[in-house]
Amino acid sequence: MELNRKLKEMIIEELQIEDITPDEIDDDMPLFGDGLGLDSLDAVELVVQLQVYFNVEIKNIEEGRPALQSINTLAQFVKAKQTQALNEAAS
Amino acid sequence: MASAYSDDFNSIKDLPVSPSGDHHQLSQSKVDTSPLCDYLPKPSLRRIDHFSRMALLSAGKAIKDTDPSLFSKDNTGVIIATGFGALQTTFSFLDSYIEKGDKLASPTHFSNSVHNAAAAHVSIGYGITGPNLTISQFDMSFISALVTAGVWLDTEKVKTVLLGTSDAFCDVLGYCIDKFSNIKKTVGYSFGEGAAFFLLTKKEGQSKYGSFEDISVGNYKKTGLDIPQNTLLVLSQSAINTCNDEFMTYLKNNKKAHYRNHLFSPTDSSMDVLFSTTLLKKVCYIKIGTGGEYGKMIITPNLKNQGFNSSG
Repeated sequence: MELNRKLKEMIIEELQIEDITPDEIDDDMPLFGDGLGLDSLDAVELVVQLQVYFNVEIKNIEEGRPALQSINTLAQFVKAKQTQALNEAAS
Repeated sequence: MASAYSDDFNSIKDLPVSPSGDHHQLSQSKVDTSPLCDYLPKPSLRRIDHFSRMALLSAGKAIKDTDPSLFSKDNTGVIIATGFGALQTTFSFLDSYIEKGDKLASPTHFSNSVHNAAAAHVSIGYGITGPNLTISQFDMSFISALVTAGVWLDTEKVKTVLLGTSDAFCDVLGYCIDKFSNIKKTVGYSFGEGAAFFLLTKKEGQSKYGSFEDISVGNYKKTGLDIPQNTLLVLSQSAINTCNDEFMTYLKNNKKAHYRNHLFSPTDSSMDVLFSTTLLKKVCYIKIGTGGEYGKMIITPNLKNQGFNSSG
């Protein structure tokens, strides 16, 4: 859950979301459209900030679309990428 | 830059705006844009930077202040003049580019850093679908924009023009003014930021504050400068002292000039124009730029609107 919180704080800080706290963002809330209300420019900014904060890269839309659905899917994506990077470094 | 780093600063962010010593203190007036929430929904303002927020607030006030019958969203053009553009956002973008590399530079900062961002936000925010233009010509920005607005109205491209200026102060600008400019030592200047908007129309008798009788540009060193006798002369000086000295020499045998204390910004002309409408007399307003270029406006204030009859 620590990762989920960090992701929420990153989103609030970097996307300048006002009047909402990390606790008010549900882990399964859709990030785009009717949920948190992010748009396409936010998506581009999120891709950049994921690299800055977590050193994780979204390479293409096939990776990005499922990852950017909610906080939970984003956290799963980050964990998977970080585990993959550790395994590659170890081998 | 060499001078900046010779002062042993590690980053441009560490530069003090008002260094110690006997330097003149730079006074700044930061614009409070919180009233913008009275004009536009707060969620829509999320990514908009200070430069564009000033323009949005000023444009909103101008629209609210005007006769509703004059303002049609699909028959209004938007023209914004700016000398520096979104200066703080530009530096924020460059900071992200320098510190993190090109792949990790902020897309949001970049989209807000372009000079025409403010005009885009004004059109989108207020639903204006007419033509949209941003002009940046430093000291001559406003006069160029005003000339263009006149052309749009004369050719009936649109029925009204929402014409405005926006220029923002930032720490880097303050540092450069303090280190490299003699302007701060000139009496009458104060440093700040702001935006001013006007809704222009060609309709006779519809002006609330005043009207432009004549707008012209030229170069006084080549063609001279005609200042009508029955007008009050108001000058906005150039940001460069040599231009002012030369121009004062040119004017020394002319009528007495009224200098107005104004904010140092390339687009201070717009605020001077509004000031001119309060002078109760026809004004010849001149903005001079580098090399002898000038912009001249004859402004007739609406005396009835200010409580005086037209013969008073």
